Amino acid sequence: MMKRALKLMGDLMIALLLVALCSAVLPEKVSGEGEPKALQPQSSQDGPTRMSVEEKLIRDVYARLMRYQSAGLDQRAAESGEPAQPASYVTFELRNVHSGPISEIDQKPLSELVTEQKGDIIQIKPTRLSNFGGPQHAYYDAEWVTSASTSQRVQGSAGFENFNRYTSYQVTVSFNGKQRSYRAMAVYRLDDPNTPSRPRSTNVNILDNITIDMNVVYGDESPRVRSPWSKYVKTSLYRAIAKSIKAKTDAEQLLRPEDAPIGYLPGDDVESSFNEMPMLAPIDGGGGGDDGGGGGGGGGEPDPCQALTVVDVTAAGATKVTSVSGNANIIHFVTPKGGATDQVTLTAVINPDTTANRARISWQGATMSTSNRLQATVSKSSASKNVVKVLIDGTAAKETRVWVVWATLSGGVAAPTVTALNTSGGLRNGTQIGASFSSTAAIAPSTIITDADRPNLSGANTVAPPGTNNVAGQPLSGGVNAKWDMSRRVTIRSSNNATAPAFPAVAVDGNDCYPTNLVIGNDDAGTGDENNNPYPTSAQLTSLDVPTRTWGMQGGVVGNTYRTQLWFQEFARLEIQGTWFVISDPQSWRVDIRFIKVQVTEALWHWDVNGDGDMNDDVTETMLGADMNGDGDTNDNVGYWDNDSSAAANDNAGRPAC
Amino acid sequence: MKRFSNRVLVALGLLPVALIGFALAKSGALNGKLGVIRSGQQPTATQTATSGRNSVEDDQKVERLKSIARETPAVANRQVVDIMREAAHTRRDDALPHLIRALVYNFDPDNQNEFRTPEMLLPAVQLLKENYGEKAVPALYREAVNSNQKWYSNRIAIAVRAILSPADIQIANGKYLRSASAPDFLAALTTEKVELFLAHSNGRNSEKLEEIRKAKQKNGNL
Repeated sequence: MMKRALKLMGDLMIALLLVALCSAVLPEKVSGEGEPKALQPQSSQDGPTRMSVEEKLIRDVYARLMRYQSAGLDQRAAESGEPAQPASYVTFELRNVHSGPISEIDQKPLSELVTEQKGDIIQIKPTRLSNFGGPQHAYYDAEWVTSASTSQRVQGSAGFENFNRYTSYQVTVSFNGKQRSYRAMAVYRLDDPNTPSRPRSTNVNILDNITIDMNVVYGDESPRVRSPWSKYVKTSLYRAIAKSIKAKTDAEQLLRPEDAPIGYLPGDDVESSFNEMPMLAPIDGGGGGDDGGGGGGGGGEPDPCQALTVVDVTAAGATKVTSVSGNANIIHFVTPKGGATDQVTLTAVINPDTTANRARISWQGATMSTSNRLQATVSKSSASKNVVKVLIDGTAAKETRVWVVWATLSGGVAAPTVTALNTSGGLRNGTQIGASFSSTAAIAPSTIITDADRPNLSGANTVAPPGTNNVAGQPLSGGVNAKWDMSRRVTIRSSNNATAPAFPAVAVDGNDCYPTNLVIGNDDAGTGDENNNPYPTSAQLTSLDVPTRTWGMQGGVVGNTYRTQLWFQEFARLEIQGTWFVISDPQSWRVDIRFIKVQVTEALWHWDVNGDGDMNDDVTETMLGADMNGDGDTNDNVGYWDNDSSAAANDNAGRPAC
Repeated sequence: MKRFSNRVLVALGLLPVALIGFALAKSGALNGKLGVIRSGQQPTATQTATSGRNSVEDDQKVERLKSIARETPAVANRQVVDIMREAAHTRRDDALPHLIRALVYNFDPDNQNEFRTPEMLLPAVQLLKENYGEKAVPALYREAVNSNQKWYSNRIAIAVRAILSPADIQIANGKYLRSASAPDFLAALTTEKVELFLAHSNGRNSEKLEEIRKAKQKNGNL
């Protein structure tokens, strides 16, 4: 099953890669950032352009070689039972195609126009099969070989006198995991470049020193071998192809019609009627083949060289941000970092979406799906900026950015600050305990903030974050003022053993737990302690906090204790297109605030309260003649709430399960 | 149990001064841009204040709000905040004046898990903004003009600033304030820093202790 799938994939890829040699794509103007020069559009094109007969000549011969070589792989696979791997297919990309009169180049050294034969070159070898006098079929084998010495194998400019036109071009050949780019040229005689008639083989010389023997390919009019050959020759398809070729030969018709599509091989028209493989569209989109019997190369298909556009790109695993800063043609997707194997799957939407057109699609900056050329993936396992381009025939047609965002928090909580509280006359009457915490979130990649072309995530939030109220009843909707946000979760446990009288109840001392929905900041009802604007701060967010308790003399008696344990998780979040996402790991910290009610003494107050001449006594409510703890009587010792080994740490040790 | 000590200026309180300054700056209190929700933002159509719903349940919610009325600054605990919220969510016209009077309640500034801006210290402000929006503005101005207590009119000013943009406040001033009326309120609407007198729950008894000490000193007990 897998072998068959591989074979089908290879067949489909190669057969349809022919149209990949069409050059008349409709690229959008895209930024050149990060793009190799060779992949940039050759020129700004405002609309579809029709390929010249000269350019078609060049592209056609390389396309046909790809098909012949594919046929060879099929034959080898049929013989060995092992399917060919995708890298085994020779592919060519032609660009910088320029045609002109031979006079433009006849004074130039050939080395300026054609790469000399040196280093790795591709050697091709045709094999021709026939069956009892039937038409010869062909396949080609290819292999990399190393040229032993430098030579200009093709003939020099002195041989140009028989030609009046030339086409120079750049070739990138990929095969068996190796790639080479080089210059080549064809010279030919063509009286009127505007006519659809192509020059015959005797009037063409292809000067390619790296993929050698292209002139053999140009002159080859064999149908390709179908595999397995032994079975193919028994099929009605073979008989039909043989019959068609004989009929054309007898009628002195061209085996390769003038209006044949790029890569056309004799027999394709017949094969299309057998519906075994998708057929190519004619270059001019008009009629079919010249025999009228085989569908003529799929005349019903739109012209793939003129109409193909990438209409859109969608994503699974990331969110498209519609507000853009910079080039509005670039599509931006944003996602928080995911797990080690998580991916963003991009899907190109093309028009017209045909099998042939799909074969023209490739991707740069993403891994193309082996089963669907319209899909490609980008890892979201770490923060990154991914420049992804959808290519038509190797030229960028749509550019996207996939932003995988994550923030790293640093900072922490300091040891609690204990402040003694006194009356204006200096009598100790309470204690304030607070712990200062600060955090900085460094957003990565920082270019999502600083790039000229970026998703516009600045400004106010458009939706409230999830969650209702904090423990005090304040709405959590107040916890954001921008799309970027620093937030905080809290788990609270409060306890005291003051009963007579009870301890004053305060709104913030109710028990609370981290929300199960991690994007909720249940300790984030305000933004007064946050800087949520990373644009002027080099992609940083900040937050401050000082959880504080302040108690005086109210509640309980000497020896009673009060404790509030606060476990916090600081985190960053981001509103992406109306939905909030967590974009950081939690930064854990905690504060353990502990009070104990201690006896007020005359020595502490430096005051002989009872007037007995010393400062050795404990102060009582009776001495003061007042109720200081709020229990309604005046018979208690006077105490104040003091620190009882409060602590803070940058962890969540001891946090209870909720 | 006496829970407040009035005439305590929050800026002179126990919170770190630097943090207060930072918070005020970030909240926009220093430049007139108050709050997380943009000034002037109104309730949505489904949140629009109504006067027609008079269910028994809503009646009870408004009655509970009336029952917590105070004349002086008071500390809001969770129970008080819940009563205020339930009544505010009725969005009834007859709940509005009582919710405005609930501006006497403030959260305890001495006991906090998260730093609070002045606006956040007054739980009624957010409820007025979310449930009544601009509809509360005429009643807020009326209440301020009729008040002769600066601490209270300052709290009303904070509520107005949370609801209206500075430009809209200028318009509202012309509409609801006669010249020379409520000068403290007018100043609080535009000043960079509104004085906020807060109730505390720390039970320090500072004034009582000093009174006792002074009385004993007067009697020769040093």
